[in-house]
Amino acid sequence: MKLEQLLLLSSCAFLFSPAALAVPADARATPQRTREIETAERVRQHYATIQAAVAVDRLALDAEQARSLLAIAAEAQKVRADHEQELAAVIERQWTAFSTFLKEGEADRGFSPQVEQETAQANEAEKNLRLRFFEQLNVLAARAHEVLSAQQDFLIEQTPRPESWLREELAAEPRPTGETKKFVKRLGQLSDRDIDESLPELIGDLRDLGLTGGRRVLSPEEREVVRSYLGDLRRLPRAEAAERLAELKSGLGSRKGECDARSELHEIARQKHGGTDALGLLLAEPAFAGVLARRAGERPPKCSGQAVDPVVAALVQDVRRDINLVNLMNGMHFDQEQIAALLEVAPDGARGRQDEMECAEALADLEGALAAVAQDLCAGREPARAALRHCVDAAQDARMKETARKGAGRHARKKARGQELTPAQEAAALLTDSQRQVLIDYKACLIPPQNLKDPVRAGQANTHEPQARALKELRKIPVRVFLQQAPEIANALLERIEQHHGRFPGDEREEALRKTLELALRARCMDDATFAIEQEELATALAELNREEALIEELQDERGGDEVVLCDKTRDFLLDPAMRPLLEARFEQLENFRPEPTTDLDATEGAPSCKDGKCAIDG
Amino acid sequence: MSRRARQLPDPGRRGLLGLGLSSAALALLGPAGRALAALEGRAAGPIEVDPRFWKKLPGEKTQCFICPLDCVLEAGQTCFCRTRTNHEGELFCHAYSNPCTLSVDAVEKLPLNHFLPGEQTLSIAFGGCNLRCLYCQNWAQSQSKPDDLKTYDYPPERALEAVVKKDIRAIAYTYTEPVVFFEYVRDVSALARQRGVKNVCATAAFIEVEPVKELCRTIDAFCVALKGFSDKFYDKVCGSQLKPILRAIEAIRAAGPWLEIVNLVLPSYNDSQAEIKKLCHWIRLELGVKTPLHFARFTPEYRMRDLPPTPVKTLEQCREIARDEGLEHVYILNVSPHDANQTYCPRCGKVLIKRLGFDVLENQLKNGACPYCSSALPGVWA
Ligand SMILES: [Zn+2]
Repeated sequence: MKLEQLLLLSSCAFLFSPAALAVPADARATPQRTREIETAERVRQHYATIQAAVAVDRLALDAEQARSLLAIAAEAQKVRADHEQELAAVIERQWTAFSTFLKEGEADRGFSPQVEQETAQANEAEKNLRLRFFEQLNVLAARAHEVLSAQQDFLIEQTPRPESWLREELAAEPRPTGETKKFVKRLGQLSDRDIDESLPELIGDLRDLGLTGGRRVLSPEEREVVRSYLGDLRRLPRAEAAERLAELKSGLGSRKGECDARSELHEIARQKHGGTDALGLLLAEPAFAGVLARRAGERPPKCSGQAVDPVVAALVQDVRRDINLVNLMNGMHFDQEQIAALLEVAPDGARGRQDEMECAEALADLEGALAAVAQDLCAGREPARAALRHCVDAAQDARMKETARKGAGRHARKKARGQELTPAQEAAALLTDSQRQVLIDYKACLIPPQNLKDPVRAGQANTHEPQARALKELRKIPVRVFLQQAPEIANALLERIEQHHGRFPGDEREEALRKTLELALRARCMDDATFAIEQEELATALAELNREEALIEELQDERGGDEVVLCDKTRDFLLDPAMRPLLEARFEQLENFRPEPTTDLDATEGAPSCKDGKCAIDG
Repeated sequence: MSRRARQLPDPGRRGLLGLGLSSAALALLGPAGRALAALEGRAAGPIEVDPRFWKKLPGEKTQCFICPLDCVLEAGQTCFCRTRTNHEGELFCHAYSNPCTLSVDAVEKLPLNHFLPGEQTLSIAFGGCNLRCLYCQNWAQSQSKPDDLKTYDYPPERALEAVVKKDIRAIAYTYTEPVVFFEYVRDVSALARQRGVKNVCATAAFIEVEPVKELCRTIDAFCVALKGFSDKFYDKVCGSQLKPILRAIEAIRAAGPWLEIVNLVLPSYNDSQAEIKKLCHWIRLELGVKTPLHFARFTPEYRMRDLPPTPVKTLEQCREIARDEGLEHVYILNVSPHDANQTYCPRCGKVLIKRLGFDVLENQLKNGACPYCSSALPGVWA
């Protein structure tokens, strides 16, 4: 980045000032990884700047509004800075706790209670900070909404994300990317019959080109549309076909269903983990205050530098990912043979480094491209089309490279057993049926469950313990209170469920409430012994009032059911490049396994026993 | 005098039939009170130890013969197992109709892999145990007196009502040590047998031969925890003895109920190749190669919290030793997913029952036989 760009951007946003950063001494990344993280952080900031500039332009604020909004944004920046200050300390704590926890996980000899506790607390601390931050931010967002007219409110909510905005700006003049051209070339070599036979794979490719709204499986009608479309396409001259495909930016097939489920899940996550709306997000970004100030001809509000070192934050995320992977590896109980076979399929180290390099290059290219556009927008200039195109192409390229790196290359197909299998399919084929089932159901978790009711320890516990606890609490409510307030109590219980698992839409809520009340009544009518026996069933029924679970299932079905989910999870977890070193270490560990030396029982204190007829324990 | 009538008055217990009558009040009512108690099937309060298995000694002393400890008690004293008390020269069991645990579990959790796969059990446990295993996974219950725990009012009839209502096919006496609630097992299992409900029992088998033979009349399947194969291990780690346990297991085998063995592998304590080999050899000779054997993973508990969980590789090595010894059905427990959770046909090697955790994912058995090679699989399948 050129110096002038840096200066201009500094007036829009706050680039981090390293002096303010607290860095744990042992939290170091390789120079290459450090560069990558820092570049990614700048990319994020450029996007934020673009988003802020676009939003401010759309809003066309009057002077009064601009002043009010700027004042609120300045307050938000104070809140953000305070939050980051605290967050930095928590992240430091997480670094220490998570690193120790990871080491214990790698040893696979169980977790010591203190280490487990510290890990849980460090995790919880961040969650609580985040919830509080969003709570404060949302108060400011509510005030900011009052400043805006209804129409401006609508505009803010409709402002596309910067990636989409860049694409839309270019929409009038779409241009095929390298990947589009490659796809068209391959398509040209297929017959209509080939298209029929390999339609699912072609749809997968279209998905990677961003044309199916993220879906790999389409409805029969949609498939028919795609089939005939591809048939027409392959008959066109290659260049024209590529143009046609590039123009198809709105996508094939309707994405409504999936978007609904996705956005609902997004809303649930927001409830659970804290979140805010579009205006809140803008307020949280230093760039927004910067752009507002600049437009108003004022200096951007003073604000302390960035407290959280993005490198440390990213390293903590890496450790968290490694913990997830180690937990999965431990829970799957791979034997040496499986590990060796998985390592055959997993991207090798050299390939991994090559992928990493390519990713870094793509990211650097994207950063430069975004910096230029952000600079123009900040200055109130219309960015050149070429600059926009550079951004869009570089973003696409970076995304593809990242996908290739993470997914061990969906496109790098291997011949195996006379069939064309993707590496994910190959890896999934190495698993036993029960391992496959575990992976399909797998939900990443930091601390693996210790539930004796179920020896499966991979991912989040499959238990209705919280629901059973809720029912137990419900049974403790005094009769008179319950009789007077049964509907309110049931409603409060349902609200608690909704807080964790998503709100029921209006028409479904009444039914959910009726069911909750019925379960509450049933749980209360039982004596202790009957409840002990029935509680699992009642808790299961209560657990079914889980909007989130239903939505996830809906999405999974839409993605193509268990087989597709299995392949996706195999790719995302077992073939994650970070898994390789873990598998290698586990192989070594198993290879060098020696049992513990035998304990000398004579030297141990021993259990109490009943000797010489002296058996009475009291009296 | 009937067994049920000989109850120790206990004013602390809750009223019966909702009439607010305590068991003491019922006792005062004489025969009418007993009839009332019998009507509800309730036998709240301590019950006389099975008269066949205890005797009076001079000076108000008692001696119990249910377990090999043969405890001699003076008046007011309580047995090593924490459930039997000498009350003025009479021996009463305090573990009757007051279980501390009631739950519905998979039969695979006992563990039993060759007994009605996929069915549920009503699991019942009482406080107390006649062993002192330093690694006990249920120590909070096993190392307490029955009435020191939160208990349920659960006379035998109620257990039957529950399984019938919930359509559960078996009652499991498990978690702690059924030997110490012998009288309850005896009465419930007899009732269950009358009504076609099966009985299964998870035990350390530290029990005398005669009482275990009595249990074999009504228990359909045993899962015996054979905790190690040396006297020293039993003495030092479990506060118990190996030989009487082997005698009891042989008695079960001879009497005929279905039998599976589970061995919890405690790293560095009972996992030596020699000890495992001896254990497997004994099973082959005395119980037969068709007896299912489970090697269970230890998870740090009670006084052995500093010991790591059993490495899976250790369990796999144990399984290899057992298979080399010729045992046909060797499982690994508490490690899942794992190939050693599945049931294989010993003849053709095909997977016949697929499990994940305690769930049965698939059961291919046809009338108790392998559908591929038709060889019959040992077990109770229907
Ligand atoms: Zn067979």
